[in-house]
Amino acid sequence: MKRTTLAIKIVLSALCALALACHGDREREAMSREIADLRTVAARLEYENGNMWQDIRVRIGDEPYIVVDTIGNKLSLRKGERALMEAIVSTGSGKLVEEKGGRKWIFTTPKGTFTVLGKERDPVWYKPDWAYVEDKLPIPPPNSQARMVRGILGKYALSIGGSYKIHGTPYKRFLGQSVSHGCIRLKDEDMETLYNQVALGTKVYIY
Amino acid sequence: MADSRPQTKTTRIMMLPILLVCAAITLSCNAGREAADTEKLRQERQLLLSRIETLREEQRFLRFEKELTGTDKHYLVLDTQKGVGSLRLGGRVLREFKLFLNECMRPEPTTPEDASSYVLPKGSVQIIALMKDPVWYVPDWFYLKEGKAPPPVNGSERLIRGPMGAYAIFFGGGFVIHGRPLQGAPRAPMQHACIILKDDDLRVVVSLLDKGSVAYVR
Repeated sequence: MKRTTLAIKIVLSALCALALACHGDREREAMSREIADLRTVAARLEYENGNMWQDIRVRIGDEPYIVVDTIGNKLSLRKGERALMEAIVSTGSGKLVEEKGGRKWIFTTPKGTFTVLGKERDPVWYKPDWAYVEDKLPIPPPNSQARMVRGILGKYALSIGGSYKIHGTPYKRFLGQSVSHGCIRLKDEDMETLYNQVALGTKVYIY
Repeated sequence: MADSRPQTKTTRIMMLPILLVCAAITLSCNAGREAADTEKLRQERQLLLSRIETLREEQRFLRFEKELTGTDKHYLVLDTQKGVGSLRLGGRVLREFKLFLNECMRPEPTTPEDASSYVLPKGSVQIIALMKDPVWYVPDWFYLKEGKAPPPVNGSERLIRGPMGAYAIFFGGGFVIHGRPLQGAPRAPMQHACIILKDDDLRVVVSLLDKGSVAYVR
């Protein structure tokens, strides 16, 4: 009798162990199925996100662009999320020059979105009327050779429209200060790097 | 010979539990390995769930970014994980700046609502006001804490300039970006979620954003 009871107990215990093992197997199977589903979800999200990134990149374009901070007098050439170069600049002084005849000029750097419209080596500065008014000198005729000044714009210049340029300067000591007549001045070494990395059509964001 | 039959029968009967016990022992030997396998599966599941959450969050941000790409709108992206913010225009980064998180002085939260109001929101938020020289409206509890009677609700002594710096940008949901306290201004406890920016960065951000501009907090 005792033997039989013992045998029954052993059988029941063994059956319980088997049942638990079977339950563990089912739990693992269910989890494996869930993991497979989760892998599918993750793969789909990765695919969708990849496509969205691609769309965004296409819309923004992969070309470098120039950003000018007129408050901090800094320029950076950026591509995507990276800054390719950073430079200290001089931007517009905000100074007002008034001619006796009534013309007025305010030397501010324009803000907004611009485009590189021209690239020049050894640029020549066409000295405008305001430069003569500012220096209290007589204004020469528009075609006068006296208006053509070499060297003052450094070795390279980028035109961004409206007679505004990003150019080199001999006045390095003023870099970091708002002293220009509206153009953006860089030291020649930085200007050369910038000149070599941008093409016509490059966007320029000035704030 | 006659005695051997019942013995054989007994042996056979006893064989079944023995076999079962052997099976159980084998299974229990495997149990350790299976438990390890189960744990491995659980960990993989957890990793996948966390990866999916990250991907979903990334997707929400990409939708936001895609919507603004190519437009002429300025907006902010505030990455609180990296502590870096960026001012963008139509998808292009114009300026990057450091975010100073958890630097606001806060009153002890008295309710769970108080505590949750100090937590930065996630996702897209819209600017409801930009303010130059923002004033801090001193609340009742500040006076009570100092054992003073609160002045009238509209009393001018309740308005203090300086604790929020030179500029403040107020977002829907009580989230504020502001500057460091101006020199000589008290460090006032702020009852809102906040990010502090350096004055130079804040000045630029304020000059380019308007009421209605958006920011994405990651």
